Amino acid sequence: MGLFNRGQSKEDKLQTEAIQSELAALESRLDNFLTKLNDRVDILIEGFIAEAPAIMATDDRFGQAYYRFASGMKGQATNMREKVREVLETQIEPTFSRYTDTLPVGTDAYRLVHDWRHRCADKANTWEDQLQHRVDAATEQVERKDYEPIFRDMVNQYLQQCKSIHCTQCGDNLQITQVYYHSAYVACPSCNTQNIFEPGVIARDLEQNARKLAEQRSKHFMDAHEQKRAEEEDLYQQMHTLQLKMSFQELQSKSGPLYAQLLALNKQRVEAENEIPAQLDKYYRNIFDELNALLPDLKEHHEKFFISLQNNYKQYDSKRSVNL
Amino acid sequence: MSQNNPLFEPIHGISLFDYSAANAKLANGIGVDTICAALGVEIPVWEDASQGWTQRMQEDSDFIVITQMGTYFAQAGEHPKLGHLQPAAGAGNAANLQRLATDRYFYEELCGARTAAYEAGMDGARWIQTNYGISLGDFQEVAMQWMQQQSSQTTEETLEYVNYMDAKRQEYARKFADENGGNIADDVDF
Repeated sequence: MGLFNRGQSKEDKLQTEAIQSELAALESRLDNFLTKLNDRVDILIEGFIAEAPAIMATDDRFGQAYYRFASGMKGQATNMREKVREVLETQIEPTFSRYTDTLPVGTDAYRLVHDWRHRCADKANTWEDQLQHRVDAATEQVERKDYEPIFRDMVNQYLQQCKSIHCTQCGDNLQITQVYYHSAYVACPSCNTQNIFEPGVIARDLEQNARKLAEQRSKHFMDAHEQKRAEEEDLYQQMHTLQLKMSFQELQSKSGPLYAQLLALNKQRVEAENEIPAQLDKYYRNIFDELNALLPDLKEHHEKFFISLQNNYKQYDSKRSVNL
Repeated sequence: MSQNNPLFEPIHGISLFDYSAANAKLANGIGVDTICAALGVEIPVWEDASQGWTQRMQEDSDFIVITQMGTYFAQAGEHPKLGHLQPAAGAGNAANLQRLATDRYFYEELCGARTAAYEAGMDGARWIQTNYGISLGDFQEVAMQWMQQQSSQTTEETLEYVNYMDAKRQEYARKFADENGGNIADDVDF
């Protein structure tokens, strides 16, 4: 039974070496496979970044051609992701099962197979994360616009166009100064005839572009919100690492220098945690303040919209349960 | 349900049922002029009401307006003034539409095909229109019906449909890739 022989026998060693060799070969194939896929990701992303501007330049106002183009790029990324998953399912997992079904638990060979599977899964997950990050970054780069001049030009064009709108009855200028976002009745200042004013595509897109501009102007609050979230997560991980270093006695007695350090970390963590919803609130409030300034006639609706949105995101406010 | 809630008050006489059914018909390619004529309003009235309903949905944190809109959207064919309206090109493929509304697996197959088409850089909605004669509006109307039935399904049934749709998505993805000269990493093997 090997009760008095805790070292590996020669046969065991040979078996472990054979397994190690097979696993190393498979892992090496996985590395090469991921490297070759990365070359294709490079081609995909570079092509997307290079071709997108021309597609966007000739697109319709809803951006349908670009949407299809971007969906195609993401579809190719999905296809590669599925290839990696397939390799895990058809190459890595069956090998892992084949050995763990027969190897005794606790042996070097068993641990070797476990570590190998964990490493392979980690490599695949890291590759997928990097792919997602690259797709997101490329999309953001391609779609990034400065909405300040876009919105300013839209308003100017709209006001310019309004100067040439005349009454269908008497021909007098309708003197339109307010923003109409859709067809509206406009009374002639001279003869009071109700004219139907069709403000055109620019006015119809104003609200949406104002929203994008307001989001752009408020982005620093969202960045601060995300930073606080990352800070809280990091402090939580630091606490976890510290807890693992502490002895059972320190944890039980809730005393000692490490425990004091743990409390200090938690204090910082709670401060960061409290800031997370506050920063999100600042972000949304700022968006609606900006919108009120850009489109003051919609202020009443903006305020109701803000309250509705706030009710929703506050539902997802949650605090960690930390028992120290 | 909606009787006493101010969020359901008609806007310029246009009820949520009018608004929802009109949107189903617009998605089917019926012109806004035809919709307005059937409702008996001029375009500025329709557009102001339309904006008003959008705003109501944004202001409704409980999503009751948008939920009810989904129900009405699926019942567009029963609307007394708009139900009979059909696009100039005709009613499409009635047999396929009927099958879509009664055969859940056929519906899931087309959902999978549509996703695969978009992922292949194609217009998924147009692909369904071309190959099955079902317009986007009709498809969405049926989708609403299936969504309403979803709440009474068991988890196993939901999973069965989700898996079926994903299998079809992959099947169509291969088909579209073959038609378009393959995927970028088809020749990368393990």
